[in-house]
Amino acid sequence: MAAGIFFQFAGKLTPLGLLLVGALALFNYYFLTDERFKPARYKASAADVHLRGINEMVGFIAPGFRFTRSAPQLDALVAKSRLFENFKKIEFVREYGCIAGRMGAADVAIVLTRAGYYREVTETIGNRKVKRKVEEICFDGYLVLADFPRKFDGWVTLAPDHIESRLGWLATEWRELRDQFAVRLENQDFEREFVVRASDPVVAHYVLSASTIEDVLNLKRRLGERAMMGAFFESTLMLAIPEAGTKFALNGDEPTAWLASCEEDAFRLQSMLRVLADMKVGETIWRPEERAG
Amino acid sequence: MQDGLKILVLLIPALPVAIVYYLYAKRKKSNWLEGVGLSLFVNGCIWAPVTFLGFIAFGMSGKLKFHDTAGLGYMILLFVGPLAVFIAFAIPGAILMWIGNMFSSSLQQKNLALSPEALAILHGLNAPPPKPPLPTQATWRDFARHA
Repeated sequence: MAAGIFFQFAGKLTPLGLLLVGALALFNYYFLTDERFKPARYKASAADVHLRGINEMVGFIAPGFRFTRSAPQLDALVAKSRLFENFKKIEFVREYGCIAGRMGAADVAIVLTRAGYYREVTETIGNRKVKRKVEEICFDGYLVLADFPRKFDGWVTLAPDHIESRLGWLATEWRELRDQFAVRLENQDFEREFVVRASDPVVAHYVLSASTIEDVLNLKRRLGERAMMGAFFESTLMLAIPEAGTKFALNGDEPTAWLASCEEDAFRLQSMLRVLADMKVGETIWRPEERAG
Repeated sequence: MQDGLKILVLLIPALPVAIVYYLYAKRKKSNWLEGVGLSLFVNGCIWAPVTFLGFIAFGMSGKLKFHDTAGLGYMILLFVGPLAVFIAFAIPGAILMWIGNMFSSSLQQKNLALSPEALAILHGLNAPPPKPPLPTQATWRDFARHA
């Protein structure tokens, strides 16, 4: 009797049973081969390996430097330095990596940063209007922070000069009329490339010596079309070097592409450190106790 | 002829074992214990329903010498037989698979193209001890000084 009832349903139940067995097998496989059951020696994530690989590369190019996924919070510093003042507004500064170390006597940190603002967009869905915030990225690249080997009060900023290259001397005159902080320097090439603003023209002339101007121009030539920004404040140098795309990122699915991007990262890091070395960032021109005061 | 057929029938269960083991070990580059475990497990999963269906087929054809194919004895055979097959194959298989997987590198399974040097770094053979992460309030100078 029981078997009779059973056979009535067996034809329908068997495929279901087979499916269940398959599902059980799959579940077992993913559950049993989970990372949590592995001893530490065999437990390693791709991100961990990637981080160590990057650090090997960084250590090879710049001994004593270290790459970390965590990074210092730069919101306050960026606001203080007026680095991004040529942008209309900056509402967020996000850091997603840091290469830091000491160069001679100077502290150096290269922070992977994205900065931008929120734009409110109104979308019409049927009869309704929905407002939402969209992130607009103004800057994506490296923020280079370093001890600048000159002692001064006040601030100096360098912003790309888009207008002067088109309007020539007229733009300079106009700016001087409008902007009380605008400073003019002797170097024509530098004037064409950058807008210099400073709390005091004396500070600007002190900070931007002939050799520093040459170094900044060299860096600008190396960057090509990209709009570089800079700020000097409280004996600190801050350079914003735009670099779109992924930087120091993990791409485990395509090891060859990953290696190529690692090479690019290494090249960029090397060029940035070379610029800092050209600026004699690591060399002290005052004694430490003098600097502390 | 009869003996040859018997040997062939006995070899049939070994076939999926070999296929699964070959495919798994080749693709995943895992260790042999895991491969054996998985193939045993898959065998259990395959042969348990096959046994079940086989008993039903035999029962319906009347070849089983039970005096009552609708009785309790047959029902027990119908369910206990496949269960026994499952327990005999799949559970030891799962255990072996687990043990084997515990001792195989998770990165090799992800098919990352890693050199022996990279694996040595990964296993901490020549890497410096990792430093503790800095607190979130740390300034850029802290980062530079603790590198």
